[in-house]
Amino acid sequence: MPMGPYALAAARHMHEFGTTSEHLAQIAVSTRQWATLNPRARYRTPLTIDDVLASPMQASPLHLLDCCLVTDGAGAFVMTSAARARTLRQPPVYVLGAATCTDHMMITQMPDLTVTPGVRSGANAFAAAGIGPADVDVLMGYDSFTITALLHLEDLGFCAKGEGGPFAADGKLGPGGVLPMNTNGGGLSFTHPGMYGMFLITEAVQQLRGQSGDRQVADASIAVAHGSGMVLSCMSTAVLGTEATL
Amino acid sequence: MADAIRMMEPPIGPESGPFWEATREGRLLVQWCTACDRGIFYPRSFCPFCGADGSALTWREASGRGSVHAATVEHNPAATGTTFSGGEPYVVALVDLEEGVRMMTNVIGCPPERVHAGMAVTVTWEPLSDGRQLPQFTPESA
Repeated sequence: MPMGPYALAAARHMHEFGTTSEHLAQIAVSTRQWATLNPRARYRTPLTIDDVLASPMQASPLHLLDCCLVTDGAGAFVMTSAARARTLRQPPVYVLGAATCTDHMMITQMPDLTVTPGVRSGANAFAAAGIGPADVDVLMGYDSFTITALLHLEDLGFCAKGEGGPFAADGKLGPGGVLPMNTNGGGLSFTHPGMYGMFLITEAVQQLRGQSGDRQVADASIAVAHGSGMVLSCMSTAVLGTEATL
Repeated sequence: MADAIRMMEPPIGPESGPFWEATREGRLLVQWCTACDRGIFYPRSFCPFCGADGSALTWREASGRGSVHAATVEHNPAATGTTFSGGEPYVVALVDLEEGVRMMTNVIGCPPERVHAGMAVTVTWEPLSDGRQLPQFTPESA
């Protein structure tokens, strides 16, 4: 569906803040680095910024490699009480806070093309959890397009509004970076069956259980799964933690 | 009007009849709420800002001038499943009219890559098969 609306948001972000195609491409590159560590990822060949910029333009400024995959796929998780979860085979993961926020239906009605309802869902989820962005060990941010992930970084408070491009540019989102993001390879390189949100949760849970294999983030105890729907219209933020974070 | 884009002609909705009728005369109408004194686009059956019912809604003729808020050049519309393929590359833009409303539209009459946020544009009309005209925009300097 909606490549054009995301392209409009990216164009406006570039106009207001000087964000570049290289900034957006770095998100695809960092995400692909994670995918090389996930044997189930669809695309596992390392990418460069030049590869992204050389891929065919779809809806400017978004190139083909700024866009998520189109795949089949499915996932599932079991939710139960904390007491019951402690008796089950897998280490429990706890919901520390969660919130959603819905705004416009169409991109023409979005109040500010550079600000998503994640500003509110994120703040409310963090408040419920009693933590802040600096406490997050690993972030799963719905990457339908590179611009989508960039907006999450700003709106969840990992960096200031307008600074998402420079924030992502030095590789801090990739393996070994200070904010590991989309460690499964994300919608950009792992899988994207249209409703990618499930994979945000399953990867966050695997990271907190220490079950993510070669892509495991050491000592991950707090994860955020942040989903995005429609045309930057609906955002859901879940803060998840291990037993030690309770 | 050059730059023909193969398209599905827009249907007339329950609220947009006066808008489309005016296009036959090359007049661009914006719905206006007399209760909260704001322009509304696209046309509604009630005010989306203050909730006033349809009796508070009137129409004003717009100047046809505005500026590009954001623009994208569509190179591969087939990939998004639209029916607009055939005319690419073409510009899809959000244009802020002087009357304070934002329209999604095409900007034509200049190379697509020249269209940018902040560009001053003015309305131009693309004839449809039934006498209505589709509002599009061109750079004001063109």
